Amino acid sequence: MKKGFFSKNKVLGINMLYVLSVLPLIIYGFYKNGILVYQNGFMSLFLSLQYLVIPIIIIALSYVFEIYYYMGIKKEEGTSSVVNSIIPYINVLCYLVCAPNDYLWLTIPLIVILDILIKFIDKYVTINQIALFKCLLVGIMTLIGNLEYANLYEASLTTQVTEPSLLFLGNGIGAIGTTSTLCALIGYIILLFNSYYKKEIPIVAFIGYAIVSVIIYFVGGLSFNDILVNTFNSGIIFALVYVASLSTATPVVRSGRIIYSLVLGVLGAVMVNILKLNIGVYIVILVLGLLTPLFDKFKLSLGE
Amino acid sequence: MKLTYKFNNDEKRIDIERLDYLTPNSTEIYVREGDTIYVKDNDYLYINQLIKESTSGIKSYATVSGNVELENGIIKVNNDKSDSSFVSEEALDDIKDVKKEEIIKRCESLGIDYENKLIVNKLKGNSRLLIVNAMDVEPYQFNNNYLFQDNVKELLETIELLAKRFNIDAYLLLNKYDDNNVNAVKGVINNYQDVNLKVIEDVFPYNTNQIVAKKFFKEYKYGDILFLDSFALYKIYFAIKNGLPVSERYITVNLGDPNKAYVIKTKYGANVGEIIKEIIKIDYSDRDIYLNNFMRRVKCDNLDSLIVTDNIKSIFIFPKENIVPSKCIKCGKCVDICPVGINPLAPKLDSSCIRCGLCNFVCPANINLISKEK
Repeated sequence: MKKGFFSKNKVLGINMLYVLSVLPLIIYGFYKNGILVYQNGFMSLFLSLQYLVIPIIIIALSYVFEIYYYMGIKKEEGTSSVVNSIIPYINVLCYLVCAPNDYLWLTIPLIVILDILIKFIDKYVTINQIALFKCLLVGIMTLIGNLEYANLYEASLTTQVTEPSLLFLGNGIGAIGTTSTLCALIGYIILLFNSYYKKEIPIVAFIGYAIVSVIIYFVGGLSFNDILVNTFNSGIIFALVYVASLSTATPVVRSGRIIYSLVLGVLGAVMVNILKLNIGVYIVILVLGLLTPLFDKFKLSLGE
Repeated sequence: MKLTYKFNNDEKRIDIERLDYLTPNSTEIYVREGDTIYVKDNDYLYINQLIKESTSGIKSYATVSGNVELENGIIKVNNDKSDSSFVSEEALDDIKDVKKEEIIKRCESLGIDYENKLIVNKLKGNSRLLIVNAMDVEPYQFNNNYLFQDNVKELLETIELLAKRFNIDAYLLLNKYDDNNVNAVKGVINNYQDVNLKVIEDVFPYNTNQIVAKKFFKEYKYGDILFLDSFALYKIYFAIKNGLPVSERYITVNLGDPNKAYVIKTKYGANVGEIIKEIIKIDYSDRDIYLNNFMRRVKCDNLDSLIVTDNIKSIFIFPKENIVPSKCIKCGKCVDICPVGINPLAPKLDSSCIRCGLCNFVCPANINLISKEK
């Protein structure tokens, strides 16, 4: 059929770019938590493959869920809502913020439960699904006393890697996809090709984060190395590039986006560097996401 | 002929084919409640003969000669193709010395209109600035460009006359990329001391009256500006020079190819379906048809019942497609692109919306943001 004037289906293209942007993180997560652990004899090759298999299962499950929701429950005739769904991307990001421990498989049902919950409430509130997932996960893991981000190999080491250049590559202890600042930056570069990605959010938020971090360095007594370690270990770049800029839970008005980003950067730096709460960035993203309608009102006051 | 044109900041070079369809089989005029009708069934009409007058004083004339058929609120003139025409005794050799009162009298007696309002009322107002927009405001339309190109001297004379007689500043807006008109006007503009030329980028929707006034003429209140397009100006010229109404108009037809358009010169009241069949020779029965601005997504269900009026400026005949909107991803593109700075995602559309349709065009989820059933 000849392509029509409106047959653009840009959302599918947008989603493809999103998926492409998380591939470096998935591959690095597999290398760091699977291959390296297997090479050091802490895991079988079969088990190490779970870091590739789980994201594939999550994507497949997401589509099954979307097909059931749109075609089974909502009785839509076409497949456009399923094909254009952003949920598989969101769910993969949820996987990437998980800790690489024994409880990883249990996160899959939590992701599905959250998908169902969000479907019912997203009409009424703007919720950043990834931030909510991360906060719930940390809450649950804390309750069961298993909040541990080190993989089997890292847990066996007596000292942690704290050299900032290695942390930039992703050698620190952290969630599956959040440790490598380099991979997150590669993902950001890929996302720059997506004209619908809110690319100013990570930049402005990082500027806010950096300014507050410098202030803390001068008045707060933290060393420069402490600040670098806090920055890389908190996975702040991942959070800003993928979670904080999630289109469905961020302001649509440009001036609102700028304010949102600045507030996020400032509060994120306070959480990480002063309160020593790495999860704090996700809490800030979750709360600011809920306030999105307020940020959208900054349009008039800034005279856009 | 190719014309460079900017749309949504993308520069496009469009191949435009100019065609004439000046002998339609018939012309039609819709009768509305309160209209005064001056013809009866089977009357023989000459071109330029008065047919009806609306309650607001706008008059409609025969644009072809032939017998009248009155049916179901439509006055149809079957074209005998003899082109028998009224010739006005009030025709002038030159319009230079025409007085203000005479201009008003001629426009008033002919009941000519612009944007469905009597031109004479606009002329009688207390305007301080006249802006003649020789570009087409809506995207992929080239009617004003070509009418101006065909009548450069006459239209410049008319602007000069209006500026002098009504003692107002006068600006002519031309498309920066329209080399033909820009060069033609620049070559003779020195002969028209009261006409100021302003060459701007023809980027939709930044060429609309509201935005042009805000951007380039801040020192004038919007209400003090008299906006006219090439067609309205040509109607004024024709009324002053010949004492007659204009019977021809241009429409642009696009078949879904962004690089190709047709500009057809035809008669007011001609059947659009007939024009498309006879001149472009395509079957449009299985196509989606949009009028004037395809981005507004106002579909025309029946081209065969559509007639040429000032309100029909362009026809977009696109391959049929099922546009299925998906869930909004809140990318904010619609807000970023809105030329009047409103939020098209708001549940109730802001009254300052100019319905340009750009939000619809950029929406990746194909949501019709300016429709009420959002």
